[in-house]
Amino acid sequence: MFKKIVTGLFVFFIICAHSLLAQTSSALTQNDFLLIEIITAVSLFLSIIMLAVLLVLYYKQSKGVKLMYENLEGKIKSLILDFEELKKSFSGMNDAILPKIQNLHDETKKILGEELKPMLCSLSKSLEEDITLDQEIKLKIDNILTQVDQLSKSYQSLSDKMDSFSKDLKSESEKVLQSEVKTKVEIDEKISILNLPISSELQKIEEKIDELFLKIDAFSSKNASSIIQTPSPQISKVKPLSDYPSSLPNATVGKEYNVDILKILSEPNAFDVSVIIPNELTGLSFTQSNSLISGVPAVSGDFKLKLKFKHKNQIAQERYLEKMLLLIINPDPKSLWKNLPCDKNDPYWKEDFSSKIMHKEKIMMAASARGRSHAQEGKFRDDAFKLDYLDDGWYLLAVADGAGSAKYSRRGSEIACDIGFKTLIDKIGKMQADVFEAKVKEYLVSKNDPKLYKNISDISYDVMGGVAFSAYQAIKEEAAKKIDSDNKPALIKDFATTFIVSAVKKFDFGWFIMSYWIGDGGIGIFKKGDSVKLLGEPDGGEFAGQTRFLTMSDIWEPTEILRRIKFEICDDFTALILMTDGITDPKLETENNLKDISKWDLLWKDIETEVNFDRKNINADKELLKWLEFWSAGNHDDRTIAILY
Amino acid sequence: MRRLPVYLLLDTSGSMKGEPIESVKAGLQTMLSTLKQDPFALESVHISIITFDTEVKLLTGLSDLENFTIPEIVVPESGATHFGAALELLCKCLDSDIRKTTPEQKGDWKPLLFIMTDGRPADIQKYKEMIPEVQKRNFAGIIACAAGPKAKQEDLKLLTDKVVSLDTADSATFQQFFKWVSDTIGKGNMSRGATSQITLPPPPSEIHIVV
Repeated sequence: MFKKIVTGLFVFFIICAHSLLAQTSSALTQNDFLLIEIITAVSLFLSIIMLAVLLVLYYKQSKGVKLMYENLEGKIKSLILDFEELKKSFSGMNDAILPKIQNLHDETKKILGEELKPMLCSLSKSLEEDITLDQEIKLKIDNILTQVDQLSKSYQSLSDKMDSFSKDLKSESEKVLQSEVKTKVEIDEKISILNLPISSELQKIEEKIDELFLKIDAFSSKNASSIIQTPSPQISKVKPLSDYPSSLPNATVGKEYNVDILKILSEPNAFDVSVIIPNELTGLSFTQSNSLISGVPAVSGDFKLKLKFKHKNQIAQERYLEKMLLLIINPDPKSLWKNLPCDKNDPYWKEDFSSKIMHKEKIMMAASARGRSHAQEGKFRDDAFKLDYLDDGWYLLAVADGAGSAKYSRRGSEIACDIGFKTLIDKIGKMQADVFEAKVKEYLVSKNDPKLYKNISDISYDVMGGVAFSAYQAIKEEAAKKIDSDNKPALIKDFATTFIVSAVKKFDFGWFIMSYWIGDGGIGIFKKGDSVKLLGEPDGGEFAGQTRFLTMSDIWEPTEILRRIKFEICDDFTALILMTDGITDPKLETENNLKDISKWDLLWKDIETEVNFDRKNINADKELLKWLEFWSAGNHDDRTIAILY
Repeated sequence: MRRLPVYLLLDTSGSMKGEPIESVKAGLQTMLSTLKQDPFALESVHISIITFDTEVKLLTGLSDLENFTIPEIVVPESGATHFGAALELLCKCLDSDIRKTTPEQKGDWKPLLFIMTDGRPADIQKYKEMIPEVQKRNFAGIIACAAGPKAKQEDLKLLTDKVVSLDTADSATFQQFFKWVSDTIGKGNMSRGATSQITLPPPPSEIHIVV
């Protein structure tokens, strides 16, 4: 085309000069002739200069083409080197799959030798020839494009073979590994080690091919624009494939998934976009019309989806740009929980579930269930509770939560309840009921008198402080008796437990409630829709799981004991509720919520969905046990609740 | 819901280029899939990754396991190991990430920190300055891994008593290491503590506990 321009310009100048001459020949003077001669000469001179410049430009351009081709050749050569490396990494693999690798090796060799080599030869041969005509350039480009297309197809077939090899490898490894490996994860892991060199090499090859294509696209578009002689507008180029996303947002088994692939791709020039979902990924499908990957995934794992699209400005029009997208499908957490039995022969064995109900003037019930986190590992329920009713009208309730990290805490919580109750019954028995009642009545008359308040407070301190301390002592003794497997006595902290205990009696002035509470969880007097009176404060730290335990030595200062003991005198109430943190954590969450009546109302409403609080219901405790199975993400501790209603 | 924050500090200095970093990525992938088999971890674990070479980068801020995808990890051709600067960034992240229990909110579980390096701190002065800062920040466990023969265990010992070493930085070893990391995360920390430090599960043969 350069020649065309040059010839055109040259002819143009000659014509100009001659027409000028023709138009003015009628009235010519000597001077005029001289002028025309000069004009013609100048025109000729300019044309020659122009021609020279264009020839130089043209030469440079051809050289560029040649360079480009050489570049291509280099790329292809390095591809072959990659294959060699790939072959090398094969040889380092497992003996059991060696024949398969050999097979693949041969295939690779065949492709390289019989398909790629001839292609390369013809490519370099065509480079030798001189490029002289425009038409020829175009033809050559087309020719090379076709060849590279074929090249890509061979790689594609190689890649397919790799895929099937991978699958064979997997089934083969599964066979080999079956005897020694138990879980799916371990198999996958072994395979991914074997596959790592292959897949990373394969990826490199794919990237190289894409690079090659992009170079050709760029080269062709440059040429195309110079052929049609229009100033090339800023066309948006095809980005390297690595610039497009390589993963999709994660999905979860059983959860609706909806992703618009166009939004993920975010390429305004893309068209004919599709996604190929592997067969083993059940539950998801791709709809071309709205470009949505949607459905409810049925299996978990890491999957590769093939994204195919065309770019408006790519030159090889029939070729799809392809990219693998990683889609991680999380398992449904609910499906992962196992329910493993705990060791029945353990001296500290405890039933996984327990519940009790006692019908008196009020009803007292409790339920306790092993948490999922313990069931998952076949560990024991660490929580414990106890209910009792004394003939003189005292209702006794206690819940205790053994620390998950302490190895005998399940026993610690039990001892706290048992020994605590023993002391409680003993102390109440020694208390002169009429004297106590008189003192309370006295206090009720003038509540502001500190002396009268102290009367009651002293009694509570004596009873509840005694209960807590006797429980502490009993655990200490048990720890000293317990000989560990290493022949050393256990430590008291191995029995770490929280403890909430309460004694309640109805008098003619109302209900008297006293309590001791150490650790987290909670105890509150609940009046539905009206108020909640928390009997103390939870012991918490800055971080989750931090609390204080009955087994600690620094909680026996009188002020420390005193601040954990509360007494309350009130009219009738909906319920007195004692809970371990397995319930307060999911249901009441924060310290503020623990004091918030609206949260307690919600809690009560929630319990009522499972439990019928009618007096005649003798199975309410079983229903309460059922309620304890409620689902709350991240909250799977043992759960224990005691209710007086 | 209570979160278990897990911080990963990964050495991306020049020597990690090529197979080592590819192995680390594959190892991370294994770690994620293993953790996802643990229902408690799947719901609680939040991961943040910081990489350090000459430049220190917060690769991913604390994000939950369910939505976590491994980001692109780029290793420069060459570059020093700015370990101290990485610890500085870590402290900054912790201060803004970690939720402590207040009357209004539920606190996180104590965070865990895993460090993997194949060299030694180039900014040793800063490294030493940052050690008490890191230790102040209430980790339930700091586990440092010296990968390969060039990693200096003595430097790591200054930071934590839980140092492990890997003889080689190949993919099989990293798989084992990250598997062990996920076991540690799964086992540790998520039950209420009478003990404040986590205990490590027994390591596989590729991993040596440095005493």
